Amino acid sequence: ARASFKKSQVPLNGGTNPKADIFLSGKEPSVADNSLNGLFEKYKDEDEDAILSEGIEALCSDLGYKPDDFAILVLAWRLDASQMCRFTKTEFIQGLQQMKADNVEDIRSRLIQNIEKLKTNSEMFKKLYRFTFRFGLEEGNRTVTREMAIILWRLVFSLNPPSILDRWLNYLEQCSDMRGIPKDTWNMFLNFTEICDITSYDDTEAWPSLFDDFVEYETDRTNQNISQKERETPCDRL
Amino acid sequence: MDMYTLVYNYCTSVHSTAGRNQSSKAAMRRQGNDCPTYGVLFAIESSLFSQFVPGGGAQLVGQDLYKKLREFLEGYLIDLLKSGVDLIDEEVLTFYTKKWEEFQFSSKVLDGVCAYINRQWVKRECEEGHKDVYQIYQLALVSWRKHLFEHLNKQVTNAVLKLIERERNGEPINSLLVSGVIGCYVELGLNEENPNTRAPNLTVYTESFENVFIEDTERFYINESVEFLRINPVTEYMKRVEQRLQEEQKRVRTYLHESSGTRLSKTCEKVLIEKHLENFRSEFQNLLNSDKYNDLGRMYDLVSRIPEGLTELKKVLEDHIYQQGTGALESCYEAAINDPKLYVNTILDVHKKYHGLVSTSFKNDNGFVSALDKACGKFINTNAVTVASKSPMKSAELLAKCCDLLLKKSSKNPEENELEEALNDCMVVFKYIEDKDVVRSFYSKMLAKRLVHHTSASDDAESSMISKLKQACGYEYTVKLQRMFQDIGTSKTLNVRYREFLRNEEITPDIDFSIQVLSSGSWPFNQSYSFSMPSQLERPYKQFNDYYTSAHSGRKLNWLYQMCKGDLVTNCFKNKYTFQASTFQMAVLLQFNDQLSFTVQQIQTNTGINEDQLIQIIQILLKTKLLTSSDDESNITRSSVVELFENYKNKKLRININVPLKTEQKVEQENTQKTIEEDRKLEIQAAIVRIMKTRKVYQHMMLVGEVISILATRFKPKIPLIKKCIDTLIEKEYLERVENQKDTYSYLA
Repeated sequence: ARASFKKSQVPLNGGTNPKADIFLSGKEPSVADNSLNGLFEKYKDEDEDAILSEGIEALCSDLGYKPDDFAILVLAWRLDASQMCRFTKTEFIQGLQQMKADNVEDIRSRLIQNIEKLKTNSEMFKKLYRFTFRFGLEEGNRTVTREMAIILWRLVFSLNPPSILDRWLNYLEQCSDMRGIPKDTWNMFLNFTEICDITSYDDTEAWPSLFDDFVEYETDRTNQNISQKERETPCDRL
Repeated sequence: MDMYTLVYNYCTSVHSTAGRNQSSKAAMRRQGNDCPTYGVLFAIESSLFSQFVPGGGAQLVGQDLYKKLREFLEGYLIDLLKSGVDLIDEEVLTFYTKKWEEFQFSSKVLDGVCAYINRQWVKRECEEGHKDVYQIYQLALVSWRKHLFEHLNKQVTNAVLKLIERERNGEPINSLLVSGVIGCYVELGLNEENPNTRAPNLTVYTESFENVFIEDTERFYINESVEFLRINPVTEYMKRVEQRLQEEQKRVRTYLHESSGTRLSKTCEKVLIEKHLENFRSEFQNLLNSDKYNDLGRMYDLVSRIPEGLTELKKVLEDHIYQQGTGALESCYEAAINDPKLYVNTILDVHKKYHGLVSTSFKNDNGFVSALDKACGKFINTNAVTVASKSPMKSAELLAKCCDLLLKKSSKNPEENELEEALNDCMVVFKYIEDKDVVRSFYSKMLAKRLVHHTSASDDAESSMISKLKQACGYEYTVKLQRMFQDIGTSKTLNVRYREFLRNEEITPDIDFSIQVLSSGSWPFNQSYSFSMPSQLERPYKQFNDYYTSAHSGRKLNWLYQMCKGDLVTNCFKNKYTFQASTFQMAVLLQFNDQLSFTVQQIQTNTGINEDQLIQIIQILLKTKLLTSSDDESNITRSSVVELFENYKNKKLRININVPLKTEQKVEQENTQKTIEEDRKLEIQAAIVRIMKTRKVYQHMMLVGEVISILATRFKPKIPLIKKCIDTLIEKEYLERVENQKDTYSYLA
């Protein structure tokens, strides 16, 4: 499947190296403002000069995605959307210009290309990851609510979920009295997924304290499981 | 002098020596008869001069004389050796020391006689670089060494060693024999390179005696120590070692060369102490267990001579003190948990005991002092009491309470100097408490109560204690305590002025009124609940408010009703009683001036006191039998009816009914806990910001370490709490993580 993607992209890329960043290649003719405006008008809200939930839903279905697909997160990132469920006109037009896409089909193929790259390019993924926090932030807040953070974590890692993710999200679901996730905790979680080994975790290191609590919770759970098993085994034999 | 002239003349006028030669011989013989010890010398001289044949020029004269002298010495010594070579032990020593003494003396005389040669010919020869030409005295020594010493020294040294061994075994010896030999060995140490300097060169002494002696000593004490320890306890052994070390020092002083002192004691210490350190260590624990201070002191003296020897003992001591401390508290924790004095005294007993041990037996050795401190720190902060009360801060609380008991007025108040001592003792414990902020928190609560309720035993003691705390923890630590103290002083003058004001305005107060104005922020009191003031109190309340706000414009008074109290005089009972009551109790009781029976709800409407509290207040009044109710005391509800108990009786006429409410106490305790937590967070954050402000960019571990050390005089911050504070500061954008360096922060100005 991956090979076929690449093949289809060669003409779109204008013959440049497929590994080069597609947004910076600049060899293609610039996309026409008219068609972008047309596209914007098509999805625009009746009252506001922006694309809102309904418009986004329509755009998604035209693209062949569900609004909560990873691809749509990538789209929001490429458009540098400042809020959820809302693309302002500037965000939409400038974003698509940068993407060199002025029609639904182009957007779709650009998104597919991006997703492919995100699978291997960790720097690029880090940018998307950090964007995701900003994206989930409600205006005037410093933290993303726990519920939103859980959704966003699941979404942003949908390509390649780290092994710790399920336990982490499960833990967050237990902590009902948490204030929210601050940016540092969000950012550091990406580093945390890289070590991924709870047994060698050192709580004197510079991790945000939420990870300390999480690891303690997990270690307690594992220990309990072990002792439970120990208790069960003799019973089983009897 | 005569001899010298002879040699001089001989050297200067070589041609006519023969006649003088005769006369010189005669002169020498004359003198020789007077003193037998000159014998050797005369023999030398006479043979010398008799054999002497005058040679050529003046320059060569010295050489001839020198050569003859050398040959003569050689001959003499070879003869002498023959008579000594078969001797052993003491005989050889007697022979050797006697002959040496004679020889040395004669050589000195000879040297004097030949001073002219020394000055002229020898000097010139040396300057020209002839290595084997010596000053005459040196020549004598070199000859002795070559012809006698080299052949005899093994025997002599052995004999000396045997003698020393005999002395070590307790026999008396003639130490002059030894010191004679040693003196000779030292004298023989010529500096070959520069023979004419008299700088001591100990090679002969070291090589022919000291080395063997040290080996011998080592062997002797290895055997002795093993043998001694086999039959005797370590305590006896230590006494033996102490004695042996002294003996060896004395030995050096009496007959060895002083340079051996260090080497000898090092050797003895190695063999007698270091080799048996294991025994010492295991005995150390026994001695601690049985409090044998003298033996412990002796052991310290011995083991401290060994580098690093004390390390193990320090650990044993630390563990021991810790065990003693925990043990002592373990055995009384059930009582001590509610008895601050018992708790503090139990700690002090252990501390005093081991402080005494460390300062007397261990001479306040730094390592032992710190072992004591570590052990005390451990058991004072965590022990059976803190475990049983499930609060690591219990120690701090009990210490503060102990201070309160000492400083509060009571029938058992100690004398002034005793009190001072007791407070100093409290400071000893205070030094070890990690949660110094908790101590302060409790201390300030109790000080506040003492001050407000005038229950301090002595103002001097109060301020002395505050200054002790200030000394220990700095100005900031006690600033609020001091301000509280000042407020009370200011309030005294305020009351005087207010009374004056009333007099001037010709206002007659309804009630006797006094007040204390406390600066907000310094006092650990909570805001008061609002309630409607009984009409009797309304007027003085307003009067004072007006007076104060006009005297100090811009100041606002918050009334702490829960701290207020008053005396109620009753006219309704058989006797005229005076009740000391709280403001709220007064509000309730004054209602009964109008009516003898109320429902709780009615009282609530009239007084505005919140229901929970009101019920508790009424419960207390029911308990004191001032009120009665058909409902059971514990089942009072808003609809319960309470009546004044008109047949109230009490033996005393003055009755204190002002007991604190349970909820108040509970809330107070919870608040203490909470404020401590919050204060700590703020202090940690402030510390982090201060550090980061100077460091700009700092690594996580370093930051945590510095925070802990900055706060050490206040409390011991837990690492998770520090991390939470770092989280907060990152969130508040005081700090940020340096990009791509996950364990380094930078300060955002």
